Amino acid sequence: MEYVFDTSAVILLLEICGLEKQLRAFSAKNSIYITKKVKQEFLDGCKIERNAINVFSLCNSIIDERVLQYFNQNSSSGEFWTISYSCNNDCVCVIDEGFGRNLCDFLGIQYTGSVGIIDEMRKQGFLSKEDLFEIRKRIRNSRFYLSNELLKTLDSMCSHHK
Amino acid sequence: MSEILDYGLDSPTRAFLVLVLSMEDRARQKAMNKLHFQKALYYFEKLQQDKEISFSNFKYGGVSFELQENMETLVESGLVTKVGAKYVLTQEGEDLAKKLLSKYDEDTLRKLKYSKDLLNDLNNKELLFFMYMTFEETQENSIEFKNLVKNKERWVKNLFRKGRINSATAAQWLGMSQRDFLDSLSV
Repeated sequence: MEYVFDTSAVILLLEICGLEKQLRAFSAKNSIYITKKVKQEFLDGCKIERNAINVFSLCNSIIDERVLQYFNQNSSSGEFWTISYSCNNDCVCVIDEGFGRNLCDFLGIQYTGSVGIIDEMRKQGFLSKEDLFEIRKRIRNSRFYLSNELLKTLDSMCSHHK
Repeated sequence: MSEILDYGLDSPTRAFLVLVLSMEDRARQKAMNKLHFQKALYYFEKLQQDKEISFSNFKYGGVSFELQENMETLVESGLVTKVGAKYVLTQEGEDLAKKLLSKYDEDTLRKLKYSKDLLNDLNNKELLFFMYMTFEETQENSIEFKNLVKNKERWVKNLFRKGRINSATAAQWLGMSQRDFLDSLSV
């Protein structure tokens, strides 16, 4: 499967959950991409070893006019480039923010979120039950925003594995 | 076809009013008040990059007298009724809306639906703040913008949590970094 990640998902998985090693293993079986803009947004204020971002491959996104109009003609966000790429490639967009998810829904783009990726990593055997509990603890203890809906999904994944 | 002409629905302004009232928003509501149909159609015109409807920047930002007049005509002709402050299609209006759908392409209808989805379930203040910030030229003659800006953090966070803006836009509107904005949400 091919995935293209938005900035907040990258921050959550790499920085908050510390999943560089597991993502590297996951990337052996799945293609995981980010756009240049997402890389730049991640590195701007990065709190971990900067090379961790290299677990993702860089992809070339183009300005898609159909997407641009929903961003008020503003192409400055990583989210725009991520959705633009997804719109023109057969891949799954990994996005947590409501705006982007709504837009993916609207444009018929396949998407998931950080929690969906965590679940997929678990299903493919790259995360253990203990890892899941540790991830939940880290997310709960962080100041990073994840919607209540996504937190509940994570909780239900953990309770399923008690 | 003759019904469409009889009610003047060959005019895009009037047709878009009927069509937008026939669509459900995210809260599955069809009804719209004056401010919401004005803003939804303003946003739609921007998405379309069209100038089918004439708008001016007035006290509450971009508004169209043409739209208001057409809405009143639709009420008088029995296609729309007013329930409290909201406008709703009558059964006759709903039937005509179905016929109108075939007159417009899928992309146009999708953009109209998107505009209603984006704006119709916001409260008046969230809606005005969103429109003033998204289309800065509409701040020009505003009587509300200065008051809204005093609580901008509240409106920005509400709009982000409701998925109407992304964190990059939210951070830009608040003059902070994207990470600082995301961190600020849990405080």
